[in-house]
Amino acid sequence: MTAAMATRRGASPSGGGPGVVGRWARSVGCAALLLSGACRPVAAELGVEALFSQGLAPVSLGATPPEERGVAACEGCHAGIVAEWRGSRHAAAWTNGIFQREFKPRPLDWCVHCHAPLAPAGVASVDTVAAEGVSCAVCHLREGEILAAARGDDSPHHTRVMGDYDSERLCAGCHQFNFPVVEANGEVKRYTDHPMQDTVAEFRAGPYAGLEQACWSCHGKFGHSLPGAHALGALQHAATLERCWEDRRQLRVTVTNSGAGHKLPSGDLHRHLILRVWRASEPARLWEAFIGRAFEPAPDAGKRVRLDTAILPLESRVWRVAVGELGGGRAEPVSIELRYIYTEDEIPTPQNDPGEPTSVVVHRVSTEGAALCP
Amino acid sequence: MMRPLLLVLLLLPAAVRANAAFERRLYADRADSSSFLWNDWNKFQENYLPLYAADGDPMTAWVEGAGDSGEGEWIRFYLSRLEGTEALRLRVQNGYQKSTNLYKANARPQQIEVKLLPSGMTQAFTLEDQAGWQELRITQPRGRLEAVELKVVSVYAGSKYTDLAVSDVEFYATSVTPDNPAAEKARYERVLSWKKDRVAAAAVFKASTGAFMPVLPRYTLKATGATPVPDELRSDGNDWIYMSASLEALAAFPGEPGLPRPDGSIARARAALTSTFADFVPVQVVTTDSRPLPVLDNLQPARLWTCYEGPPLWGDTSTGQVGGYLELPQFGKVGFLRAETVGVFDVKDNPSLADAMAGRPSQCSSDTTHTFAWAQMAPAVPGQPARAAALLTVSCGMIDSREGRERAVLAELLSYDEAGYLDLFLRERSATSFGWRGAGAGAVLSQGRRVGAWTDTVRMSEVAGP
Repeated sequence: MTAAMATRRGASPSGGGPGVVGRWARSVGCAALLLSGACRPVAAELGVEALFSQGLAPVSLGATPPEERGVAACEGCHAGIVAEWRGSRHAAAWTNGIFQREFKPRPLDWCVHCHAPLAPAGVASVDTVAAEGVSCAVCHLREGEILAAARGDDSPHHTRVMGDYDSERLCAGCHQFNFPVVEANGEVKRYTDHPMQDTVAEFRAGPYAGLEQACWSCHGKFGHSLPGAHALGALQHAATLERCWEDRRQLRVTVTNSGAGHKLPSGDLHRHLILRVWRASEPARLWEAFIGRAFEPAPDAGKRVRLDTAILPLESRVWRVAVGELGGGRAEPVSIELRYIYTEDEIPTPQNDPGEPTSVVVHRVSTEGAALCP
Repeated sequence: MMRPLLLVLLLLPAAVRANAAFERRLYADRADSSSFLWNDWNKFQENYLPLYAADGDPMTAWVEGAGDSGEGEWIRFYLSRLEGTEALRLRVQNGYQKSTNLYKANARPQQIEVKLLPSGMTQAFTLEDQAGWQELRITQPRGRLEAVELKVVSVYAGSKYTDLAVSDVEFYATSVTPDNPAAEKARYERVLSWKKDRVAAAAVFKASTGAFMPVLPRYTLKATGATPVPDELRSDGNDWIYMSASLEALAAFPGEPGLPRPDGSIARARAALTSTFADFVPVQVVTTDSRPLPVLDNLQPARLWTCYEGPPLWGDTSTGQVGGYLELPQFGKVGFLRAETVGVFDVKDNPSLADAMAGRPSQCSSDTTHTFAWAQMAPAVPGQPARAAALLTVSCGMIDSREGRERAVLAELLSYDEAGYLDLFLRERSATSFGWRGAGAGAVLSQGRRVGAWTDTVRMSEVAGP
């Protein structure tokens, strides 16, 4: 705990959150000092929506001292949480190869605003703290104050408890946005009406809308490791694969979005699933089905969806495959695979390899032991 | 409790895979050989290259070109790297099985040695003298498989020709590694695409209406290299900084027989970049030879999107060397290889160079690529038409990008030597020098060196014709 934090502890109100009276009192006091610039309406009172700008601007920590911005400032007391976070995709938001491969040839400040939110002035200002990606301060720190859904009784922090901190609105700050209008100089000042990442809207439109703790109820099950599409276990929980024989010539394959609170896949526009059915002796005759979104240029800038085969929460999708089309011997088993692909190019060229897997096999089974369909 | 369960779920599939070896088909998308036949039947190399023995088409074949019986010749096929491989089954169509007559007329292997790479496991086989498929199987201690080599020990003599042929080879590997059918299908489709390019290129050569083509049907990669990116290429800067850095990286290479360092063009380019092309005048360019440049092995016209979407597949698609190919001006027309076939005319409505580089002209908002040009004229020679010593072209248009459509701008500098041959070609992040063989209208582009920078590495590819 830093000296600054200890000082703040002495000044903090006791227990829980500020309460209505506390907030009013502070507002009055703040109004008196407003002209001096010493007191500004804190983001907490505006709700979590005010914490982020959905990529239009970096995250401003305001009066937070520099030494409190990095992960190291939190690690001393929160080592377990930081360890979880280090294994998360948030920690790799800036450094991961898939992002860097797309970012480097065309470095836009807009990208930096979500992938290295603590960089105050875009591409040129990414320092070691900003390169930590979506770090503790990005979600939990503003104006030198900790933001959270609750405050422990023994917490040394002056914590601003936000009633909607657990809601999906917090995550929407970076995980829900439309295609940007990119100006000739690379600036992004506004968005089109076409969703580019639509995950939060998908959640709100689905059967889990209104769930207490929203995104955190699933992605927070393993703490701050926040497993998602890059965690095989999470994918295997989200998607189930079943197969059975309709008759000796036709295979029925069913993929169910059994565990995701949003569509499967969701998020980045390039993400998609491929369902494949083949015989090992004839890979060139493999059967494939695309699951995801495909886009076309929109006349007003950005892109619009021209095909959406993503699977809704709790939806099952069924395919029937004529195994005779697969070639190979009739007695040869048939393989079935559901693969999650993160990039546009599943198989990158050696010179364009992002340095991390571009896809992962979620499920792979064969028809050995497959029964007749009920 | 969840974490141990998760760990089991993650490890179980791997444990199952580790013990269950199974056979799967592999496709070779690269092949190399000791030689191949280049003759009038294969004037433009649309057949007989080693990769034709992996295309699944008995109408094509690898035919060795050593000029003797074929004994000692070899062919190597590059497969997907496969760990945990314990056997490889090959199906071979021996000889040239395009027809019964051709099968008998050409030589075909009798005794061969099959070697697995990198293990080096070798086994001898005797092939039957018959059409159709024959099977071989070779095992190795479970380990990596990357390639397989067939070496000819003895032959069945052809009734008419000493040329030895192999029509096709199929590969089936037994391994514990999970198979990747999409990757294999992609490899096979690359071979088919390469075949189409070869046929298209041959058609261009054949349809040259008597006019000489100044390029060869095929180029092979001779050398590659990579150097750290110069600081100039890492820093934010304008396009001219990148172009200058690429130029200096190329200029560091000495000249050699057949590929002299283009000192005159290098000096011209340096002066132009330093002065931001101050003595270049706006022009309209046309060519008197508008034949399209075909897509050849290791020599291709540049495209507008290249600098935005990353480099296209680098490498010699038929032999497997990876490192880079030579780029030609994006005009894609034969006429731009020689100054005497480039006509330059005054134009009054060119935008400023700065505006063109920023993509400001309205033409840059079009889906159709538009090119603005500036020229530095060569000294006048009495009795000869004026010609350009160098051309700066700025092409722009809309391309598809991650966020939608965006304006792309591509600047290219073409510089010609005193004889009027294109010997230096600069793009934003690459510099290429060309060497020519022969003289006058019969000169042919024979060699080239490209130094290209893309984000992290500078790659040099020296490509020479047959």
